[in-house]
Formats: sequence, structure tokens, C-alpha cells
Amino acid sequence: MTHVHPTREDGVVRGLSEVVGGPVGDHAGPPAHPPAGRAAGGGPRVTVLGVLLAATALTFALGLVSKAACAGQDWSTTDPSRYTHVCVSEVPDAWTGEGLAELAWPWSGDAQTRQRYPVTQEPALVGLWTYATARATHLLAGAPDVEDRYAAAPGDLASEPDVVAERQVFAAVNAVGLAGSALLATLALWASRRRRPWDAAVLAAAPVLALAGFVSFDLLPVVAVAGALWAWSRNRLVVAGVLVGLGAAAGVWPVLVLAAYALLCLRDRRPALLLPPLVTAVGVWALANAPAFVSGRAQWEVFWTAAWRRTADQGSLWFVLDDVAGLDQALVRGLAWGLVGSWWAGVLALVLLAPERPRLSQVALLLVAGVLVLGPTYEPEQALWLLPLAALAHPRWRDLLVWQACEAAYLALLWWWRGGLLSPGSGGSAGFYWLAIAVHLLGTLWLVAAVARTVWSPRRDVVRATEGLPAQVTSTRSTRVVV
Amino acid sequence: MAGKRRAAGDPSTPERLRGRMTRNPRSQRPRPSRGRRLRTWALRLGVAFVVLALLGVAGFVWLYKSVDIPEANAEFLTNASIVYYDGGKDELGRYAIQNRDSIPLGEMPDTLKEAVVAAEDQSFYSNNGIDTKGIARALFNNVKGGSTQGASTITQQYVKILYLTQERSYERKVKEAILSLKIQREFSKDEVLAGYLNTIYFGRGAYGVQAAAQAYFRVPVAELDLRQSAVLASVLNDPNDLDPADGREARQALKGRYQYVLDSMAATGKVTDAEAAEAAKRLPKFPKQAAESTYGGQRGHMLTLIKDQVLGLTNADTGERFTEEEVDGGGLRIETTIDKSMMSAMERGVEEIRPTEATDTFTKPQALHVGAATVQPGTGALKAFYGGQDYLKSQLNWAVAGGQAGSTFKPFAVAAALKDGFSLDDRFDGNSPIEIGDTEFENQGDRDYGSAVTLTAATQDSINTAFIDLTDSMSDGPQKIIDTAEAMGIPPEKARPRNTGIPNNTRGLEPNTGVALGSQTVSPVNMATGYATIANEGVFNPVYVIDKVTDRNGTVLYQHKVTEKRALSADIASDVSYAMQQVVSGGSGDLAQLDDGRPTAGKTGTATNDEGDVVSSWFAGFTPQLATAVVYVRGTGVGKLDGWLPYSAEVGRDGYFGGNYPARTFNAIMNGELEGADVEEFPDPAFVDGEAPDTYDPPYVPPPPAQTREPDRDDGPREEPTRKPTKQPTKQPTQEPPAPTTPPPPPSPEPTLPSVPPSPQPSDPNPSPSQGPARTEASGTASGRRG
Repeated sequence: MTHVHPTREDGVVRGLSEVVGGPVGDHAGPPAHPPAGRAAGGGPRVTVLGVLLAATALTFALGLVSKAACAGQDWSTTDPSRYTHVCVSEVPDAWTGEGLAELAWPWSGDAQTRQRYPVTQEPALVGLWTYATARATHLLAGAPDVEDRYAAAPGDLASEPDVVAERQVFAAVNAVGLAGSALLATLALWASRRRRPWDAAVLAAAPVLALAGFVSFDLLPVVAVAGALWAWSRNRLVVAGVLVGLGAAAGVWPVLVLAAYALLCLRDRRPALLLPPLVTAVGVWALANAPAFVSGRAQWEVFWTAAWRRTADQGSLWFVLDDVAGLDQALVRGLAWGLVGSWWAGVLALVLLAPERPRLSQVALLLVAGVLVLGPTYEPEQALWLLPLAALAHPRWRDLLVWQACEAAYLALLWWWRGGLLSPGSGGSAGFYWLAIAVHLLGTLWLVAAVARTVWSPRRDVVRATEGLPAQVTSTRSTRVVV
Repeated sequence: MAGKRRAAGDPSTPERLRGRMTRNPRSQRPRPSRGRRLRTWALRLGVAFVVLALLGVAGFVWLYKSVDIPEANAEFLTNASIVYYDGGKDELGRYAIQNRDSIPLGEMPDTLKEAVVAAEDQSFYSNNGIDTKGIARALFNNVKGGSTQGASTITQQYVKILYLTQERSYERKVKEAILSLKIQREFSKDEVLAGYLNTIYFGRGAYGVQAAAQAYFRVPVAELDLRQSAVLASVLNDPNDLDPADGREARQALKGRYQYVLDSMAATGKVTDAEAAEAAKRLPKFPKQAAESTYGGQRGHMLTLIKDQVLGLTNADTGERFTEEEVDGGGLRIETTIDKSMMSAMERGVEEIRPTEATDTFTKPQALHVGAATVQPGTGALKAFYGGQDYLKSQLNWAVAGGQAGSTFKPFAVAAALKDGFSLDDRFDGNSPIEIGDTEFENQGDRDYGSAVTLTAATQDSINTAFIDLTDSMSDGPQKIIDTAEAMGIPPEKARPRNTGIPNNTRGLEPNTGVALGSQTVSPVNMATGYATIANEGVFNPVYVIDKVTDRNGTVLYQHKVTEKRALSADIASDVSYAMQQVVSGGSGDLAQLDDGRPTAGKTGTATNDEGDVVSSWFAGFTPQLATAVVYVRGTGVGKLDGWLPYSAEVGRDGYFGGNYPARTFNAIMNGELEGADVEEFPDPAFVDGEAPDTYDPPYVPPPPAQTREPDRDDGPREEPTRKPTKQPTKQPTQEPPAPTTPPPPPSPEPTLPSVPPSPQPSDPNPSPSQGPARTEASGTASGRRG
């Protein structure tokens, strides 16, 4: 057996495998992985990668099916079904909400455009992505004259038949693009593991991927992070830096992966190793931000000021506290980020005190989770952030399903609350919504606890146990970071 | 070696010369012969000539080099900017220093080019810019005492127009010649001919062939035939004397020149003799010249308004405001929002209703000014306006100057009150007078409407005291009314660059108790814009006239993009609209009801000055598609209307009432503008009822019939441009499920008229002109206050 079979290792998968005949036997035929593994004597065989990609496609497709109700309403931004049917997506909203329907450059400084549409609050690379997909949509729609659209007020424009039809196309173009991202992420995770190719299934078959994959553009930083993890697994530090830079330009949080790497460098007392990925990441990030920065600096800054000003907002612990006690917003901001900082300090301590050098994905997951648990706001699609990290850090289906079940419950409750379905008839606070937040927090903490436990006692780490990692040999000081 | 040889036997040159002379047998003669003297002189002359010639050439070369092609006379490079109606097809007018529309040579028909060359400069294609033979011939003729001939080539004429002054001097002549040579060397013949034909004056204000073809034949130049080409080639020779519209003599003269041109064409072989003879039989047909001058009628008001607006915009190419030069001579293409048919419907409407016959009391009818404007709800496009009299008689545009708003300002107070938590059913003191502080306010005719009238009734019957009570019941009421009005599109008192509106300020818009009664001066354009906000379900769109400005290459220099801002919730807008519909269906504005009975809302208004004179008379209103405001003023805009505007026997109504001429004008205008448009319904009123502020002390009324109240609705099923959900959504569930399906409130208990006796025109006291200053809708008794 050249690779680990989940049916033999993972309790949940073993249980499921009973349906198709139980776990792989001791003397089962040659494995399908590595991909060259077409059986010597046989015809075409299904490879692990093939199955993984098919699973990713299926999962993403199921996610799209779950949005069918909204697509059936032409992605109307006002129809209540977007909340009742839990099919909200920011993706089509951007078509009419940010002026993409008239091909407005996301960071345009044109006074009239800015009066018509708010500046995009997406990071630079996502803004470029939306603009590129908008261009593609425009071509697919037969390149209509957008000048005519200036004569209609944005609110009226959003309900014009042409524009509504194009919103469907825009959603479809983005669905294809985001599906491609998901496939790439699976590919990267699969390639990150030598003996555990099935770990990528954590992302490929994730309920969270189905539910939140098309809610926003968050799969873009996710694929960058997955790619960066692959680069680190191959010790390609510069490539890792490039991908982290791209990820950070598409959503700031991928910086935390680099921070995790920095912590490991710190533990090893080899700060020089940090330089190559750091320098390239900064360079690539700057490059990706350049178009927005150069074309409209004031508009580019909107993302940053908005991110900074964010205070107790939906989905967070702070929202509940604010609802109960009424907190000062500046205090919340200070408190939230102060606590996130101390969480990170805790992670640092864990990294330094752990008996073995922790793996990169474990540290990154712990850092990112701090933001999700204690940060001032939390949206359901942010669960995607943990997905590639969890796949490598903790490929145990039981814990992953517990966490994702919580996220699924949170997502549904959040949208129902937003749709006003959970507001008590008598007014006042929505108890169910508080419950949703609690469920999300508990689920994330469950995953964090599981990961922290394996960091603290590495022998519980199934990856270490099976991947034959150098880190197992404590005496050897390898320069290579293990993802 | 050479030196040696010379030394050996060669005499030096002077010696040889001397020797030759001595050898000359004649020179040895003692007396100098005549022939020799002649020869000496000839020699000297020859030398002098050569020297002079050399000097001349040197001088010419120096001149040639030193005369640079100067900057062309700027006005000859200008192109007319053309203004278009809505849709960009029909021309509205043009701005021009010189009416010119430059076109490439390829677009000019050959017959025209041939005719001009044949008539003006037959050697054009072969000469060097100056026609030496022609000059010699001209000189000869002039010396002979014959007719004074010129010998200007086309190149020279072009140079003269483009670069030089028209003075006659040798210096200019020399410069002209040199420049012609230079131009000749630097430009191709085609370039020179194209420049010439685009530059030269053809009469009738037309510069260049394109404008000339339009001016004489109303066709684009490409469609000129032989006869028309020959005429244009003729008139350019002397446009002042050859215009056939100037009478028989000019026509005869033209015919002579026309014959000459055709003969020249035949002589140069461009047409056959037969063709020339056939064409020469008669002149082509000249279509009647447009009777309307460029600025006559409403056109002058339009062009002035449009130019003012363009000058306020930023040219995307330069990043600066458009300049007068760009507008007048930049060859811009200006597309506007003005709708041609609505514009004429408006003109017809005003002229149909406005009284023009002088009577004993109605002296000087020409002192009556009407301003009107139509704005499109949902875009803010100014579709039509009426500026007043013929622009050539008075340049003041009353659609922009406006008049004191009077009670047409009350809907803004209604909106502010509903925002403040009042409902249409809340009651106010309708008895007259009412005293607030030291100031006393009266109803029109000092009439009492009861101590508790609903807001709907107060709007319907324009009850001043109820609105004063309302303003007083709100905390900081006057300021709230102004804030609401400004959000809806009435510009603030002070002009600031950011303000929208035409004009962009509202004189006298100050927070005093009587603000709802409208002593501030509002333009019909801005009033229509404010009302359009109500028609557009509470969403304000800034008014605009300029849709797009492009330059000659098609580069877009300015493009208007419609913007919107919610001023009122859809519910409040539906309630304000509802109250205003009562004004038309059974209140002071009943004559505004459109002929096809379509749902219409509006408000009458008259403003009264300190002396109690009525100084403006309004009606403003809207359907879901269009909002129109009409104002009648006198003289300088503050003249006395009561007792002057004639009583209308046919409607039995006094002249100065907003419900008379203005409402009827509104009716006439909107009937025309909306002809063929779909009948659209207003949204049902929501009857919002918030928490009235503590400052409101409701008068006691017997309990009215139970009124079911609807919950506050959200802003309707409108797609707002804000991203929802955002990355940082507001912490409340802001997007309540919109309730487009909310059932309309039960229609049965009409919330109006529980205490007001039904009366078709309750606010019209019908005072006769002899009864002295009438108490009008907004009359005040306290001194120093305007009603």
C-alpha cells in the first residue's frame, strides 16, 4: 500500500464504506495513485485525482443547485426568496450594485459614476476579477452599448430586462470561474500530500464548499492559499510567496499563512528563511494592487477604511454583546482586535512550546480561526477560509463534519434572520440569531481544539503518523517546513 | 614654378589690360567718342542690374525665409457647435462665431470644385500660388485704363482670408504673394482647395460650402447638383450683391455671374457646351429661407440655457470647465434632453391659455410673463420649458427666474411632517387668523375651516393657518421643511458649486415660521424637479439638460449619468402624492385635471407681498411620467396680479388664482405632452403614521371612523444600488422583506373631509378687483413678513 486509505484510517469514512463493501482489504490491488498508476495489466482506471476533481465538481454543482431559487428570480436583490430560500449571493449583486452592468471600472473616480454606485468593497484582485468577468459577460451578451444605460437611474437600470438577463450571464461566468478555482484548490491539496491523496477530499466534498462556495468571491484567496501550501510542501519558497501575495490581494487573511510560516521560522531560529516568501509576497501584492492604486487611490482606500472601521457586526460575538449591553463601537473595535492579538500570542506560545515543530497548516488554521472567532464580524462564506487549512491540518471527518454542520446551521439562520423571518413579532432581539452565532462559535472552537490537541501531542496527528515526516525525527533539524 | 614662369614673361593682368587698351587704335584718339561713352554706361548699367538682381533675389530669399506662415485668423478655423434635441437627431440650434461645418474635400461634389476653379482661378492646378500671366494681364488692363482687374489665385484668396487683414497695402500684397508661394510649396492643391472651400464666406451667415449648401438649398453639400454648384461658385465672388433673396437686381447680377461660371466650366471642358447651356437657362430653385431667426421665439431661451449649462460642465479632455471658445467655435455636438414635440406642446399650451387681449384693467398684456417647465421623474431630464416671450424681445427666462413659490411649497411641508411622525389624518387649526409668536397668519379671505382639519384637507384646500400650526407643532419645523425640500431637489438659499438645480439656489429660502407658505423664489424648473421626486416614489434625480457633448472626432467630452438619491420613503411619497391628488380631484386645482382623466396630482399657489398684493400665481403637478410647473408673474416678476389678470367668465374664476390660468395652462401643456402616453396609476397611499413629536398638541376631535393602519412599509420593491449584503452590513436586518404585495389600505373610510364642508373651490373667496388688496392663499397681516 503506497498511500493511506481513508476507509482504513478514518472512522467516519470506514462507517460509510460499509455501504459499498467495507474498507479496502489488506491485499487490495495496486492503488490508483500516483497518477501514473494505470494498472499494469488493466484498461483505464479511475485515479484518485480524477475522483477528487469529480467530487469537487459535484459539490460545487450541488451548491449552485441550492441557489436555483434565487436564479429563478433573476437574482433579484429585493425578492424575499433570497433569504427564505437561503440562496443569497453577492456575485450577481455586483453586476448591478457596483456598476459592472455599465462596465464601470471598480475604482473609477468619475464623479457621476461615484454618485451612481458605491465603490467596491472587495480587495484589489477580486475587483479585477469582477471587472474581467464583467467584460466577458458584456461580450457574451453581444456587447450592447452601455452608454444608453447612463440615462436610467441605477435603481431602474437594475430591473431593465437586458440588464437582468446579463446578470444571469454574469453569475454563470463567475460560477464557471469559481468552480475552476475550487478544482485548482483540490488539485493543489492533492499534490501537497505524497501518501495521503485523499486528504484533498476534505475540500472536494465539503458541505461548506457547496453552501458558501458561490456566496461571494472568497474562493479566490482560498485557491491561492491552497496553492501556497502546495508550494511549501515542495519547499518552493518563492512560489509560495507569490501565491500568498496573490491571496493577500484577494482577501487580506492569507497573510496569516505567511505569519504562520514566520512563527515556524522563529521556532527554528532561522529568520533568513522567511525572506524569500516575504519579499515576493509583498512584491506580488503591490503589483496586484497597482491598477487600483494608480487609477483611483481614494477609491482604493475605501476597502481599507471600511475594513478598519468595521465594528460589532453581524455574526460575531460582539454583535450579541452589543445587543445585550450596548457597547461603544470604538471600544468593541479595540477589544476585538486586542483579543485577536492575544489569541495569536497564545498560538505563538503553543508553537514555541509544542513538543514537535507543528505543521504549517496547523499553525495557519489556528491563526485564521482567531480572526473568525474573535473578529468584529463574521459572514458565512468566511468558513471557506479554514477549508484548505483544515484539509491538511486535520483530515479527520468527524471533527470536520461537526464544524461544518455548525457552519451550515449558522448560514441558514443568518439569512433567515436577514430576511426578517427570525425577528420576534414583539420586536427586540432575535434569540434564534444569537443561537446561530453561538453555534458558529462552538463549531469553530471544536475544530480549533482538535487541531490544538494534535499540535500539543503530535502522536495523535494522523498526518505525522502516516506521511512519514521528517518532523517525526526530532533529532533532525530539517529546514523544510511541513504542511 | 608658376611664379617663376610669370616672372619670366607673363605680364600681370593690369598690365595686359593696359596693353590691350593701348593697342586699341580708337582709344588712341584724343577725343572720346559717343559710342564709347554709351558703352561705358551700358557696362555700368549692366553691372548695376546684376547687382540689383542679386540683391533682389537675396532680398526675396530673405523675405521668403523671414515670412513665416502665421497663426491663421482664429475665427476662420472655428466650427459651429450644433445642439440637438433629445435623441440626437433633430437640430435645435447652433453656436457659431462663424457658421461653419468643415468637411473633407472628398465629400464635396466634383461639380462644385470644378465650378469654383473655373470661376475663380482656372490656372489653379498649374500655377505656383501666384498667377504671373494673370498679374501681367491685370497690370496691362489697369494701365490701359480698363476695368480694375484683380488676379488673385485661389491660393492667394485663401491666404488673404486665413492669415491677413483685409487692408489694402503693398506690404500686404507682397506678404500675400510670398505666403501664397509658401503655402503652395507646403500644401497639396487638394489641401488648399479644401481649406479654401471650408473657409470662404458665401453670404447668409454661412462660412464654407457645407453651411452654404444648407443656407441656400437646405441640402448637405454632397447633394448639390450642377446648377446649385454654379450658384455657390457665383455668390462667393461677391456674397453681398449676389444673394437672390435680396431682390430683382441681385438676382439679375447673380444670373450674369452664373452664366459666366457655366461658360468658364464649358471653356475648361468640365461640362459640355450643351450641358452649360441647358443649366444656364434658369437658376436653381431656392427654398424659402427659414423665417425663424436663430434666437427667435423660445429657441433663444433654449440656446442660452443650454450654453449656460455646458459652461458649468467639465470637459473630460481638458479636465477643465468648457470655455466659451469651445462652445462657440469648437465644433461640438451637444445632445440635450429637450424633447422637440413636448417643447412645442408646451409652447402651444401656454399660448392657448395665456390672456393676450388688453382690457380696461388688464393693461399692457405684454407685461404678463409665463414660465413653465417639465421634468421627467426617474431621470431628472428637463423635457421642455417655456421661457416667456420671444427671446428677441426679452431675454429673461421665466422658467429659470421663477416667482415666489406661495402654496406650491406646501407639499414639501407635508413630506417633512410625515417624516417627522405625523400622519395625513393628524389635525391642525384651520381657523383664521392664527398667531405664532408676534406674527399673525391668515387664510385666503380670512376664512375659517374649523379648529381641527386633517393634513389632507389642509393640503386640498390650501389652508394656511393649518400649515402654520403644523410647522409650529414640529420641533425645529421650518428647518425640517427646508431640509426635506432640499433633499427633494429645491436648491438651498446659497449658490454652491455642488448644488444641483437650475438655477442652483433659491432666493429667500430661510427657516421662518411661514416657510411652507412660500415667500422664497423658486424656478419652475426646480419646482418641477421637486415634484418629480414625489412622482418618482421619493427618489430624487438632479435635473439636467445636457446629455452628451462630443467633439468633431466623436470623442465624448461629457456624458451625463443619471443619479438618484432617496429623499422620502416610498410610503411617505405615496401619501404626499395622495394628498396632492385630492387637490386636483376635488380641491383648488380641479381645472388641472387632464382631459383623458388620467391620475394627476398637483398644487396651486399664489404669493402675496407685504402690501397684500398677489405677485405670483402657480400650478405645479405631476403624473407618474411627467412633472410640470407653471408660474404667472407680471413685469419684473413682483408686479401686482390681483385686479390685473382678467376674470375668466368661462370658468367663473378670478384671474390671479393658481387654480385659474396656471392650472389651465398645466392642463393644456400636459394634455399635449402626454398625448399617446400610457395612463399610469399612482401607488396606493400607505397612510403612514409614526410617532408625532411631543411638540404636537392634537386638537380635540370627535373620534373619527376607525382607520386601519398599515405597518410601515419598506421603500418598495426598488433595486437600490447599494450592495446587499455588504461586507459590513448594518447591524440591523436592514433589508426587511419588501412588501410589494402589501394589500392597499381599505378604501372605505376616506381620511379626508370629515370636518370640512364639501366645496369645489373652498379657497377661492372670489373677491372682485374693486375690493382692494385681496387676501390670498398666503397673505399675512404682520408687517415685515412676506406671505
